[in-house]
Amino acid sequence: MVESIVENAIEKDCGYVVIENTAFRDDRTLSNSLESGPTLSKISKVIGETPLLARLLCQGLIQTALSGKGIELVGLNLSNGRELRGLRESLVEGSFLKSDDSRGVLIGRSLANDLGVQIGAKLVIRAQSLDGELTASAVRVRGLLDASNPRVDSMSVFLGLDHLQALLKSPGKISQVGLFPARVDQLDILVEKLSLELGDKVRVETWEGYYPAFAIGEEMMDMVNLILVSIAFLAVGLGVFDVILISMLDRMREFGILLALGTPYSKIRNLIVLEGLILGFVGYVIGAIGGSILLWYFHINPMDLSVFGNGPKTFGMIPYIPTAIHLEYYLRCFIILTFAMLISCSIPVYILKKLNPVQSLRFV
Amino acid sequence: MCLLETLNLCKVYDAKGLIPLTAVDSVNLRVERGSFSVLSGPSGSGKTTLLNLIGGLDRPSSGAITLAGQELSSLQEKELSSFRLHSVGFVFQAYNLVPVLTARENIEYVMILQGVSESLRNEKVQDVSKRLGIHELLDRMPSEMSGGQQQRVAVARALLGDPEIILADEPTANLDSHNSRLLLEMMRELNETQGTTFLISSHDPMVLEMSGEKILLRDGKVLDEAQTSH
Repeated sequence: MVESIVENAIEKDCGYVVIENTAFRDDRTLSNSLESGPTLSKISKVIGETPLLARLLCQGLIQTALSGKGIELVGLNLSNGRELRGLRESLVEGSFLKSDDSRGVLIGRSLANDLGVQIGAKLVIRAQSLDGELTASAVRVRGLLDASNPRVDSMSVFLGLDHLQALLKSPGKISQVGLFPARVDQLDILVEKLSLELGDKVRVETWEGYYPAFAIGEEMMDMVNLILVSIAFLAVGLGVFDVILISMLDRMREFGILLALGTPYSKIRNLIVLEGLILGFVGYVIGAIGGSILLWYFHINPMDLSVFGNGPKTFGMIPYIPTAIHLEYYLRCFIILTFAMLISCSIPVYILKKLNPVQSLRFV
Repeated sequence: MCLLETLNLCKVYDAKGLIPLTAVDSVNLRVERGSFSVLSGPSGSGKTTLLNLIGGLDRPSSGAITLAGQELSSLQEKELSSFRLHSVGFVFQAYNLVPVLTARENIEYVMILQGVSESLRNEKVQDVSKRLGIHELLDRMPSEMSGGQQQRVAVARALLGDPEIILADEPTANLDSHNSRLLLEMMRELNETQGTTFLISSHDPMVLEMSGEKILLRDGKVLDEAQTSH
């Protein structure tokens, strides 16, 4: 579920790699913005055709006739395609901004509710321009977003990059560039190359650096998952171990009879191991089929968590428990099961080896 | 002709923290081939232990056992297992049939281990089951048979392994008098018609009455005739 939060943040906010002025993190003012032309040109030299999204960010106010709220203005290059996919997918009402739209804005449904406005409503946005003057612009709400991201849904107002640059009297200025490379397994190399190209005054970092809490959250969730999976597998292993061990120990007297009748120890040992393996594998197959059916069912009919309120959604989580069927699960189960079976079989085998037929016949 | 001989046979149970218990004490015994001998004595006199030692189910603490010319103490586990398979037939007090096998499978089990062909096995099973009156029970599981029926299956199993000797430990202990008599008559008949050697441990008067040689045990020792008469 943390994965969904991270994916949400990447797709609808920062991208996989974030490039910004080094000082922008601590002082999010226009004076710490980047020059669009030279910056994008240098970035292009490194990344080629990799999709990127240049954004201009500025703190401001949004007002209706009756109320107002502090927000973050986000100027986007509306001609972008893949980079705006996440935001486009979040549109729940109205239409997305057209590239030549110099009046329209997109706001989160949550912000719209706070302001008490709907599609088509007229609003005023205010901010401080680069030269320190207070500027304002009348805009209309074109669409409402539901991004499952509190920052997007209740704090952001999206508009065209040109529109915002004009409002802030800062032509050619951008605050951030987000990159969306096709391969995300070599982000560190990309960051290193970009850092070299862009110099000291520009910070280049992956989403993990930009959203450290999410990265830690993901790491912690991985650890929690590992612990939970380990406990589950341990329980499965102990369960199998217990069943096979008990079933074998219950039959020690029977093995004693076989020994007394002249059955070689090696034959009884093989019998115990073979029976344990058959018992385990039959259980494995039944369990695997049953588990797969359950997983498939919950894949088609996800367990809906929205009944517990908007909590998960507020944190950017998908409002249902995701299911996945990976071959790896079956392999892990198979290995643990085989291991548990062999250990559980080895105990009666060992006991039998130590006992003579008389002791085996009296074994309780 | 002597089939079984024990020399100064001893079995001492020496559990940690407990006083060592001598279950079999310097037993010298001779059993003739084709005999129908009974080991008699009160409970705890060492009858079962002695039978277990003779049958290679347990190892003696000291002394020697020679059965059909084979000295048991020199045998390794694997050889001892083979000895039990080929030379000894067991009839236990608690029947000890394999619970998951039918009567037929129980009877056949020893022969399968011995590598007897299927056709010969079928022939032998049919023959012995008719003689012991269990031919209609062959497809039953042990849990579906009475004690007497189970014990007859156990005798059939012991017999068909073609052993040198059949060791029967209290075979009538769990049977009523009618079934006890039937079983004993059957064993006696097998002894007389086939020359099968029987060594039976029991304190059942009926068994003693039908026996040939009687060997009396007390406190792990074999009593001689003079001692017996007292």
